[in-house]
Amino acid sequence: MALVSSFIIYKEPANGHRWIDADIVVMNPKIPLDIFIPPAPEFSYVNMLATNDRHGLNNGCFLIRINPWAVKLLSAVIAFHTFKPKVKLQYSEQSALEEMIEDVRNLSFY
Amino acid sequence: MSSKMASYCYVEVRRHLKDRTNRAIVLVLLLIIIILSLGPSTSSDISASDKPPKLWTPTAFGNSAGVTAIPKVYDEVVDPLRPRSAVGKVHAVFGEPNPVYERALKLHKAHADQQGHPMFVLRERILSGLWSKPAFILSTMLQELAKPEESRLQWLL
Repeated sequence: MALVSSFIIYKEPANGHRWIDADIVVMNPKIPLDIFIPPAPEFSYVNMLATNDRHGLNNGCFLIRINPWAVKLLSAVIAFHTFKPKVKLQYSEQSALEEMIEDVRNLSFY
Repeated sequence: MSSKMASYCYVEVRRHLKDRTNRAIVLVLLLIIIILSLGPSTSSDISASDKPPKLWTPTAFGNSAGVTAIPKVYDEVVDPLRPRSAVGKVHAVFGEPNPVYERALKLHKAHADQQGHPMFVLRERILSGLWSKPAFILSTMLQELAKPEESRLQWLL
């Protein structure tokens, strides 16, 4: 992939090395993002491309289709804490997005 | 002593003003002083009206301090040799200035320019914590959906 979530080491004189999240670095600017778009019409049902890591969904870098589905998903993510205040969100809005994607899958509320 | 001096001056001025030519000279001098004192204010009014009237600028998007849309006029400028990509890039860089983030953003700008991806960069915190990110993506998305379908972006990264 053209974009890699990466870490950069930089040296602090007294404290030794420290990790800094870069946070997303373009590795090859010759590659357009268009090549990652799911081809139509076979994959027109795909609204979002995201990755998982060992903690579950990682929303550091993802592709989302511009349509009403995405508007509702993102509004639900922002409103998550208002409607489900008891749900602990370990990774803040990343966890909220994960929960809402699960909701979409289970309830198909759109 | 000073009152004596003042009364002497008064008498002297009256004596001179009795002469017609002297009176005329004083009148002309007064007129010149009045015209000069009015002059600068009228000329400043003219220069103020020469300046273009303050235009209304949108505060939510475009040229406002918090948000930068790169390129700013991508809707108007269409290069037929390099059509605009259907994918836009959304970024959020704010808080303590960090040269590492700025360098990463520069790479994205170069990539966006080369590949024709419109780029949207949030430079101010909208919500607490990390919630500015979904808020800004949503904001960008609604902005796109408000356009005619043929000039909309299809995806956001």
